[in-house]
Amino acid sequence: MEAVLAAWLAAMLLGAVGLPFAVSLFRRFPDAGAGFAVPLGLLFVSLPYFLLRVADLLPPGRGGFLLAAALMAAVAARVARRLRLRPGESRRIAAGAMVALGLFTGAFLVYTAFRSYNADITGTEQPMDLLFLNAAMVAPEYPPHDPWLAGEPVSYYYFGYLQVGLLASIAGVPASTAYNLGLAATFASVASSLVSLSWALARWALPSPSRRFAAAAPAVALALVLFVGSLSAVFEWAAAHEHYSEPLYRAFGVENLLPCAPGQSGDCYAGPPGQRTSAWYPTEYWFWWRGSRVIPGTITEFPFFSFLLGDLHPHVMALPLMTLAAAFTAALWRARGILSWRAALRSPWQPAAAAILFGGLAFQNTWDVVTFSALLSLAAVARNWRVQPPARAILAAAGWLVPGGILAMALYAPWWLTFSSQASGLYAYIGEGTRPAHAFLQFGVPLAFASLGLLTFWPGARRLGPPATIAGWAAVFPFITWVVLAAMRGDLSTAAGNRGTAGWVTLVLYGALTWGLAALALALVARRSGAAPAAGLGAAGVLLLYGAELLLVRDVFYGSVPRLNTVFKLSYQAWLLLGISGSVGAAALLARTLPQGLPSSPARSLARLTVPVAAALLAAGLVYPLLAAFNRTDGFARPTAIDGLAWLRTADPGEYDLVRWVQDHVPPGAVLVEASGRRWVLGPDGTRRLADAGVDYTDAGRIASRTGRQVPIGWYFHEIQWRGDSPANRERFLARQEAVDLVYQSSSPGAVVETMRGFGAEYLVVGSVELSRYPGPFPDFDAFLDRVFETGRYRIYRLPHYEPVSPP
Amino acid sequence: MTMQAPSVSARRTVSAAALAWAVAAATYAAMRLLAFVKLPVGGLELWSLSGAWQASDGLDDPRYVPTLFQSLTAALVRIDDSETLPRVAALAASLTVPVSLYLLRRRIGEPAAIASVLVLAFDPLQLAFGPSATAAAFDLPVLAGGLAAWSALGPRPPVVAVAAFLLATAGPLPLAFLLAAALVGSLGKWNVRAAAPAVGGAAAGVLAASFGFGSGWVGITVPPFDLFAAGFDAAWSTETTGRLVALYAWGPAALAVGYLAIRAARDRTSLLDDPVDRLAATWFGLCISWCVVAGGTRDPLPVLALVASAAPLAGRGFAWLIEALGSADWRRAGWPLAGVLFAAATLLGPLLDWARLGRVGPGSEVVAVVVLAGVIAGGLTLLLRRPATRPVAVLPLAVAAAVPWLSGGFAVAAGSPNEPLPSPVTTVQASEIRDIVTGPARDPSGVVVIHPSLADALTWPLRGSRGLVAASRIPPNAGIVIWQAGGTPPDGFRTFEGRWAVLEERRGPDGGFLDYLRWLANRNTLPVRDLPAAVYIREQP
Repeated sequence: MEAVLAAWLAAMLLGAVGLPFAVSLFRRFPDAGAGFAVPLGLLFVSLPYFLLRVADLLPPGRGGFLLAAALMAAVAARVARRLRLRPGESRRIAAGAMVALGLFTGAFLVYTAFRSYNADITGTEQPMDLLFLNAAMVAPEYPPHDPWLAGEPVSYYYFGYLQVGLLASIAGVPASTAYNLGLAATFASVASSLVSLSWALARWALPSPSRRFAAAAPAVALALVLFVGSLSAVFEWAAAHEHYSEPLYRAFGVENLLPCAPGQSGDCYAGPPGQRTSAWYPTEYWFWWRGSRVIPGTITEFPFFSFLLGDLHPHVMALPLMTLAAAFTAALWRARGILSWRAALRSPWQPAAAAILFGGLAFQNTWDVVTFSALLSLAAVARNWRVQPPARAILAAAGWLVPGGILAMALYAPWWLTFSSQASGLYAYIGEGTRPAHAFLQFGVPLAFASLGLLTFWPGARRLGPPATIAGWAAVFPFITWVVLAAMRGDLSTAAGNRGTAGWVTLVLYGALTWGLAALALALVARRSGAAPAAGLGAAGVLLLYGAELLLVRDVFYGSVPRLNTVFKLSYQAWLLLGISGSVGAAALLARTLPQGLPSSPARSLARLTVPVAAALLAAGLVYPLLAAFNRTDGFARPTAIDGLAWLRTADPGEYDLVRWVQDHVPPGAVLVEASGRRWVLGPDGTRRLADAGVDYTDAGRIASRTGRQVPIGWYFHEIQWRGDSPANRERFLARQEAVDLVYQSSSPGAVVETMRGFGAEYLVVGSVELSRYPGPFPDFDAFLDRVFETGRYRIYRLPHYEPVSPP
Repeated sequence: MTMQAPSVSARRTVSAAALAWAVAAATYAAMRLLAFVKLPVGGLELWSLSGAWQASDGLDDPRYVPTLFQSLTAALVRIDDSETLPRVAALAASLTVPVSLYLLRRRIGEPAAIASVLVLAFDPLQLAFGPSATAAAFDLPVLAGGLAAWSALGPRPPVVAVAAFLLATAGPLPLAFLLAAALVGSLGKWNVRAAAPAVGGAAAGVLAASFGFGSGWVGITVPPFDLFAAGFDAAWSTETTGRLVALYAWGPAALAVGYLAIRAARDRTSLLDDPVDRLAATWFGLCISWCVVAGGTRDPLPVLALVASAAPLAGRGFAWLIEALGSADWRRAGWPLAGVLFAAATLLGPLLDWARLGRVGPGSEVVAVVVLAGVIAGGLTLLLRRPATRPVAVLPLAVAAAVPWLSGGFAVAAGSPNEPLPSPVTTVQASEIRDIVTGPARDPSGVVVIHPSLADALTWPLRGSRGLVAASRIPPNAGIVIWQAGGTPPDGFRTFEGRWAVLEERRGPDGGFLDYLRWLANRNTLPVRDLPAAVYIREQP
């Protein structure tokens, strides 16, 4: 409980640092941007921490994080004093801060309580997340080392881990607890940010008499973005209770939930009938996992799934920053004046803030920076377009954007220089297209709500005309690109055939919706309507889904599941954008239908008809979180904890003590040797042979993950993902695995010591993984190493220490 | 020749304020002189001296954080290898604090300044660290001196540059004050021209520290930052920061909180209008935060900062209390106060008895204690009811806070052998080991091997000894082995008989209120734990 309170207090402190920046950036928001205070505080403290650590001006450890917070608190105080508040503004800021505080606190505590039922950091990629969090917190030098590849810097986007590390270090909680509290802080930050942004967008979009309905937008935004899930849960629920219609299930592409036909073994329910569930909700182990795998060959995660699963991944931690970026874009568009290089010179803090924010987005989840930078650019051009012809508007906007871009690159240069992107080009997607039913199950609710804008802000066919022509390019250009790219590789006819009829239908639907929303956004921009940003975000969201149907970014998965990451990352962004846009649409829908005494019109009648449909869809979308939350927590009956390693203390106390000893006694920069994770067995002739080389997603590298100390090699294929699938890398990583295995299986003390010294390793671990992976007997480590820790069969050895401490 | 009596107008008069300044400064100096003589080397001072010694020997050591004072220490121990010269330097620096406060008297108010000197004079933390050779020994003198210079001379470029240099080469104590000044806007408006000397001075300080003040490049070093961060991992005290606050610092902190509470109750929002109060309250708040954040660590510096920041507020509170007591309605307050004091004195009897026994007494005593507590509460309520008697109600509380605090101050200054401050301390036996190591028993061709777990504790006691090696295994050329106690001598070595303890740890009272009370009643009741060692010498053939 103390850890939870400490983390909450640390978040409040960071929020206090972020509040003056939030007010100066989002002054025109109803809450004066207070909802963004915590994410801004995290951003504005993490960046100087990172830069000052790289420059070696800040010391490592908790003290460094606290000093960075103190320095930025001083800067924030100066910013606060320079805010020239108008009468009444202080009250509005205070009220906004109170709303944000209450919302953040509520969301933080609710999520922490939920997470406490499944706090274990184990399985999926959670060990990897803990690894980066530990590395960010304890690294003796910056950029931090990669604990799974001793001696080399991390090659990943780790800004989110740095921010959670900052929160944890200020609070003084260990990484294994901070992991779960970091998830809670992310959840709460997204909640408060969403409320701030959707409230502002709705107020801008609605005419004065209807502004009271803007208050509905935050609630809908929270539901759409943070809670709504895949509609497949409705089918899961019915199937769990043996209620299913085979044609319906087949039509919606969820035939995998039907019982297996005779002779069928895969992609169907193979268990005994009537025993699918033992409660009112589906009790099948992790049934909710399928909700993120509805579209074959890819991952379609959504925020609720992320927070349910509990992987502290960059795309999850980036949610508050993505919302912040969307808000910055909206606020930029909403303000007045031409954006040009002169404007940048006149008030340089604005492009500087953009540089910090959008550069940070790249550092946090590189996929996001492209989308949100494009949105920012469009907003800048749209703002200039109000008073300038298009060509000049673009040129002037470039004059404002380019310096910010250069500054962003410069600010985050220490990271760029150590980051090796594995994206190797834009390709046409030539596989099977998404079925419309799958698209509906997965994105139906946010898409439907975003489409409400077409209904509620429809300016009439005449006004939509000219913008529609221009907006058509938003749908046509990606398609032309797909044709050209596919044709260049000679795959056009294959691609057209592979897509299948269902895939083409989905593509046309996505294209039409992109066109419609883009046209609406342009029409609203031309009319200087406050609804334009919401429509624009909706158009961008659909465009992302549409684009991911046509194109892909090539990475290490290209050979097996080519569009996996493209669809995964872009649809995640789309979910957020569609949710925000949809919340404004919902508020507008209510504004159209609820007031009494308005003259009836066909549009109003249509709107009235839409309300129950939207409500039904929303309710169906909320089935997933309801069922999944109960399934994940065994009906909230599991024992609770907040330390992610509490399970280890129960399951293997010796291993837990070993981890804690390493944390307390091994210097953060030290290198240890632990098992490579490969499993060896003794052959009939007594020789050792490799039985299983798979190490990823196992407990290989667990000491590095749980302590942040470096080991020669961790998860082999993940290192390939981060550093490239080249023969040189494979050879290098394999050599490390061989060397580590030699340490535990050699008969020569000299070879063991030499290998350890080769890696700069001082310590050697013999714990549960070593005992289970190597058939033994181990070398007599006691003969040539110092035993520094022992519990049961587990030991830690250290190279003999010899150090002159006075002149000879 | 006639004798002329001096005229009244020509007679030299001494104002009460001057007399008070003289008494306060003399008290301040006397307490520090006492501590200078009596304090054992321990805790942060042992750490700092060890680091400085290693630096003076040209050896890398994480305990050497090149603050100006630690660099000076490294230079001074080359002249004389005892702690005396660095302590003289620390004492001299600490004696400038009353002078600085005297120069600042117009800013903070003369009675408050005098009271602040008295608070600092008797404070256990200030006594333990003021005249001792810690890396942060210049912190408070630099801060107070900088403020005095700023106040007297204004923000002139040379003053700013020198202050920035000194702050950049000091320890972490001024950081909280600087942050407080930045938060409340006390640093004023800075343009490029005004900021340049500050930046230049600070950069020069960082550069000088990075070059180890001439001893060679040690990497980019910002001493206040490094020392602040080191406090979270170091073991500069046997007791944690939180417990040090509870044992030694709650008195002045309570007085400061009380003053702020009274100001807030009396003046409501105008509390923030007084720039000195605003700055002092923010500084104090930040120091409390520092103590909270560092609560579980073994760093005494946050507590030192807490008391330093509490001093001006406590001083103002003290001054206010004296003034308020003078105008209080003593006719109405006399009896309730006497009742409270009498009840409190009576209450102490059974409480001390319980503390001695370590358990709560029989039911009749419990009833008596409850009744007496009720009398105290009733008396205080009576005093608090009328504005004219309210200040009198503060008096018993102030006394309750001051008594344990003062007894701590005297115990620390007198170098009481059971006092948890400063602890862990180096021992006489450790010095005797030095005699063995440098004496005729040692084979001059062999090295002295120290177990790694004892090496840090022995750096300072064995200073000047040559051929010391920290090793986990005994090398063949070992002549003397200083090892963990409890084992058998290595082959070819014999035990050098004696009870060897290289470090002495003194802990504060363990449990709850009764343990604390027992300790207050008799400060010599605490157990002292040694870090034992064994000394082996190679047998002569």
